Amino acid sequence: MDGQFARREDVGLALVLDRFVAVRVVQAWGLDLAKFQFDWDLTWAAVFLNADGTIYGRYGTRRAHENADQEISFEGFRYALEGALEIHSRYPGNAQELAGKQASKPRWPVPESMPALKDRPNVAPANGTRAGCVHCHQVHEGEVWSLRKSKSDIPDRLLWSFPMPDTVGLSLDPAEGAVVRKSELAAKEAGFEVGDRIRRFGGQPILSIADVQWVLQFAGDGGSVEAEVERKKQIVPLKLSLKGGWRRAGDYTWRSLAWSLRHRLAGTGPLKPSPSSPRRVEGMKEATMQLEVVKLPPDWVKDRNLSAAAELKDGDVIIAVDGRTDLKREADFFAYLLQEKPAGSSVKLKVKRGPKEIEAVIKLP
Amino acid sequence: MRAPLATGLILIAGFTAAQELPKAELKKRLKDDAHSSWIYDDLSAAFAEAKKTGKPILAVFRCVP
Repeated sequence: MDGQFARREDVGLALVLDRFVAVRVVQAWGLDLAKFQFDWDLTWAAVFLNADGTIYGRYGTRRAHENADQEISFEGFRYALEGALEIHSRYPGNAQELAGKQASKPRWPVPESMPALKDRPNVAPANGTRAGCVHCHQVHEGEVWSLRKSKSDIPDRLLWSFPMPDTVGLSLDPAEGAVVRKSELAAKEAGFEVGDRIRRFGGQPILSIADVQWVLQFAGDGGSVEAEVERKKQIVPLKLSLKGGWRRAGDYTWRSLAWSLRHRLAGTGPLKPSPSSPRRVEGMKEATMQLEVVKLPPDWVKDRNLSAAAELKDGDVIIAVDGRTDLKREADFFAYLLQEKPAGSSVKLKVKRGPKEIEAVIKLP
Repeated sequence: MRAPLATGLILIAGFTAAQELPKAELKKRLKDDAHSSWIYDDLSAAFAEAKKTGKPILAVFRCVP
């Protein structure tokens, strides 16, 4: 989609585009984080804003590493563009309703000021190569690792970031702004129905799925979000209740961040739930932890955890961590290491290697 | 004190400018065939243009390649 859009191949979209000052940004070096915040793991993201910096909305959603364009479309993007123009036509009279769309105060003003990024060889103005550029996904990684470096807590919001609306039971149509195509779980309990168009969420005007994600990103545990949907030409108010730990129903291991967690914490490649492991065949309960080391990182990965890499092998199945067997998903495993084990501490793994069970102790950065 | 500070700032600005590629050259090196109507990788220029024209800004963030 990016190429077609950048080359203005869709005439209708190009006409809408002419009503904007359009800027294409290809690096995160020097990016003002007090102004620009969005889901950093997208391959393509758009922000609509006023010349005074007021954000009107965001566009761009992704749910997996594969099929990065699955949740975006020309139709949906055009809807968002037209919505942004409508908001602009009413500005500044509508400034109050836009307050929640503004970026939160960043701990670091620009990506290159993050302690974890400072020593990276690519942290410099873009030079036209992939290795010579601060990538947007590094902003997310930089924040997580800088917090760890400064011994600060890493909240769920930073791991399970920009939750897909599905996490609360809302499946939204990428060809529309934010139209419900399926409602279940908390969304169903709140009264969302198929065909509802979400007009407001958390008090903010909604142009896209990304705008819904923005509200969810800052929604607390155990709180609620007020919504207004358009249903049969009527505006219907709804209230979405969020239970404690709600965002953990999602997954973050498709994000680039996960690679640095694998390499730096466990010294491994992906850890996959292991349905084919011998223990499962022997009748181990379905719910038991079984994370299989699929592949160890190659030697050129400089920041891999060498102590961990020396302990673990391809095909190992991790079946307990510090005596815990409830960390069944890779996301839960890494959240435990990041959020509950301080830098410099060790973690004890029980590992199934072939027919044997061994213990591995790894030191965490 | 002011003169050394000003000289220092000029040197820093000069060093940063020297590190940054001209945007046209960056676009060429990236083999990015984006239409010429885009302001290329320059948010300050976009804000200035929006202030002048009264148009809203569309900022697209794209990793190239």
